[in-house]
Amino acid sequence: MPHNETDLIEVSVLPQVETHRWQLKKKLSGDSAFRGVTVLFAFSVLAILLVMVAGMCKESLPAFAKFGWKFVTGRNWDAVQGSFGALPFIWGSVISSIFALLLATPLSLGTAIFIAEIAPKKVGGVIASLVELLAAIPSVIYGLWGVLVMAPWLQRTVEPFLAEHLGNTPFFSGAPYGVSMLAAIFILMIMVVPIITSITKEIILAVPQSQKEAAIALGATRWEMIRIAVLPYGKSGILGSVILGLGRAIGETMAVTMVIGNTPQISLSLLAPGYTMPSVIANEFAEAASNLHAAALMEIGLILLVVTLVINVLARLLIWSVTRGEKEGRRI
Amino acid sequence: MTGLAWRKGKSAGMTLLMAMFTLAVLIPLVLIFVYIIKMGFSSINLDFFTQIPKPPGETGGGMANGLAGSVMLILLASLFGIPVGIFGAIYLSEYGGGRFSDLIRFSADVLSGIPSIITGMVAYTLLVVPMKGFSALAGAFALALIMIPIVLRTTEEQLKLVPGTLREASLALGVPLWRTTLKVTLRSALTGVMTGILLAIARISGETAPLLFTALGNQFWSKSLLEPIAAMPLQIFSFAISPYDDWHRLAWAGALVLVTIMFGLSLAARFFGRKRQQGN
Amino acid sequence: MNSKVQLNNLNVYFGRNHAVNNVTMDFLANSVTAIIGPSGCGKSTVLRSLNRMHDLTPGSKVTGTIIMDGMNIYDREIDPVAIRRRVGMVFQKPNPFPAMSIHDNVIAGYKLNGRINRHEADEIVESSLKRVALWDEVKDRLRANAMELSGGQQQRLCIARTIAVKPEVILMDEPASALDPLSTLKIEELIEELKEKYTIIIVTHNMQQAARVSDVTAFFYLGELIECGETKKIFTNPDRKQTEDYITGRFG
Repeated sequence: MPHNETDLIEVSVLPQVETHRWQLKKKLSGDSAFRGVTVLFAFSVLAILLVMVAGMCKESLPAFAKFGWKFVTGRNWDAVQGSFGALPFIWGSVISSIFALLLATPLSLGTAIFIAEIAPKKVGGVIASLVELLAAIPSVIYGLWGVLVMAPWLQRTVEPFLAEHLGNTPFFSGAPYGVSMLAAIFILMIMVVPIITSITKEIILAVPQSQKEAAIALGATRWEMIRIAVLPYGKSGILGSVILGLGRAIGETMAVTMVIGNTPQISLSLLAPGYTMPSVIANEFAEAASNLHAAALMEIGLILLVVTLVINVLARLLIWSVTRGEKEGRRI
Repeated sequence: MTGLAWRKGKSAGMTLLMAMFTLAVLIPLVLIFVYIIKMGFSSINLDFFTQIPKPPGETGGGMANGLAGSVMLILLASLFGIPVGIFGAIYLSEYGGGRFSDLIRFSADVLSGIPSIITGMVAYTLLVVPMKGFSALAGAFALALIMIPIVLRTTEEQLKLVPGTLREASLALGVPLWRTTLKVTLRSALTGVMTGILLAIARISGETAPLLFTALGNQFWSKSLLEPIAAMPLQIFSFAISPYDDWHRLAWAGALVLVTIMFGLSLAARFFGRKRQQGN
Repeated sequence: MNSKVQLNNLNVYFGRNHAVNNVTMDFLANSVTAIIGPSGCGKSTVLRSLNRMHDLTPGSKVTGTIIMDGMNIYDREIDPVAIRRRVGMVFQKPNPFPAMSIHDNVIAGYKLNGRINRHEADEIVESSLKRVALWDEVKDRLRANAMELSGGQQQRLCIARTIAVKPEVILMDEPASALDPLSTLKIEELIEELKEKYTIIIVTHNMQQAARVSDVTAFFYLGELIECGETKKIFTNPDRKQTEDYITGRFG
């Protein structure tokens, strides 16, 4: 017969051992408090992102209000006079990144194919680990090596060569400085290769065995098999990895700052020094001359943020669409 | 040449090309390591670890304050970043499901792709401006923002690997969910979670950009967390771009030490990972 | 014999799936009740309602009442954790805590909830392991890792762990299906002894086991209780044709 009050049922066996009783929820187990804590922490991740975007919009408002769209078309960046045009930095970021990717993509693809399809499994594993090692090197160390070793070397060898033979073209005019757009392109290329390589390698390994076997059964050579069966299958994923690399290149700060020469100019010559969006922020933000200066730098940061966000989302969509498929394929 | 021989030759040629590309990719790796070791090794001495940098023109000195500063920043960053990452992951793994969880995961992924200099700008806005000054606290906060997505994702992965029957066994004994999560589920995933944390620490130990306008750097020892503080990557940066040879020497040594530490942390992480597999 | 647990109009839903349909039955105290039926008939679902395990499954809904000692265990005021102290569960695949010793596994129900006096702990460990006839086999290696035991030993360890927290009801979800025949026999003997002190409800797909071990048998099909009664009767002279068909192996 059901009772109206809660029954207290005591079953004690040993002293000090807890007694059983119907326990009312209100006193209890701390589960909802714990859940609340975890929700809070989880939400803070989202909150950080929102605060980030909101904060940067707010801080860059003074510059946007003053310059409007001329901000991205203006070529003159003068903190003293208070005129801020960001085009040189946008130009620098675009040129350095795009050329870096043009050079890095074939190298990465080749390496990925070599690891996944050509080298024996153990050798491939070692090479893949070495490539990961490249990815783990901090940007400032790339920059150190870049400014103290690579740039002087460029100045001594490659750049004079280019200046001598192609100096009459606008692309290689001017004196070799060492620190230059060319140096930035090279260092970015080295830094971006690991990303594209490792993702492309995964994509190639994810191509179903059946596709490869079909090509081989038709008498294809190894290269033809790769060209016909592997690459088209992973096309969008590979494109995604390249775009991801682009995102990384655009956001790269330290290494580029140390080798690009930090001169806000728009020049067609790769031998000339340049400037990128992250670099100007890195160099000027701590000691911004005025509120307007700071706001202008914030606005550059905002542009950088939006560009990298869009690129990242695009890249992930492309990569996800390929690797989501069956992962049955492994190397023969 | 017959068609087949041509095709075979082409395939062999392409193989050679791929091999050469791979070599081209690995050459900078070798060069960088060789230079770091060659240029930095001789400067690794007791002075390096005990003295602060000398003014330009004088030789000698070390990066002791940068080393200590980096350690301090990492400790502080972990204090904030690890709990947020772990508890957030616990939510996603044990309570989550549904659009909110997807949103959190998406946010974490987005955060991890943001250039670290922007993270520094955000920390500047949130901490440096109200506090009216650069500080170790601000630097640590910026680093924590970088740590959080890494710790979150790896912890969630590890928690999900814990078999459901373990949770059920605990719950069936009358252990509340929160105790089960902490003492059974998290305990079981601990080595994997530690691996993720070590990797996150290895990552932030090399970060420079977010510290440029938060921790700022310090030529001397810092006396409080509310002051600018030196950090190894910051020092490497300023020494490398300076015109002084002696500072260059220090920069190489610093790079060697930094790379060694990061490598050590990654090895430790891998060691943990293997130990877990053996334990199972 | 009096009733220990009463199910009244129990329904369990998983999203749109109506897994258990309007079940009303009694479980008698200090007896063994077997729940049998073909795969997917809802046996485990019914079992798990008895210790509110479904609370942890998102999208699940339980309606109806389950009365134990005068209280509806699904009453909003009651903490499910308290219920699970009184209603223990043994699972199909033995699941001792892999990072714990045999000793710690037995008192896990106490340790995970806080501290326990070492003297008490040792007493509980000894008495629990003796009840499951495992004491002699492991008394010299109580600190060894629980995973070193064989499957049958692990399952008895899990039963020891369950009775260590002094429940009144023990739920068993196909406890011997992952074990070899000898271990199965030992478990069945154990169940026979345990019913002296506990109320046991066992889900099994092995009809012979149900016939050997239980006093009462309930036959489920497609989420509904078809027939429930004395085991002897169910297996020799069931009322419903469906029951007879299942018993004789005509389906399931």
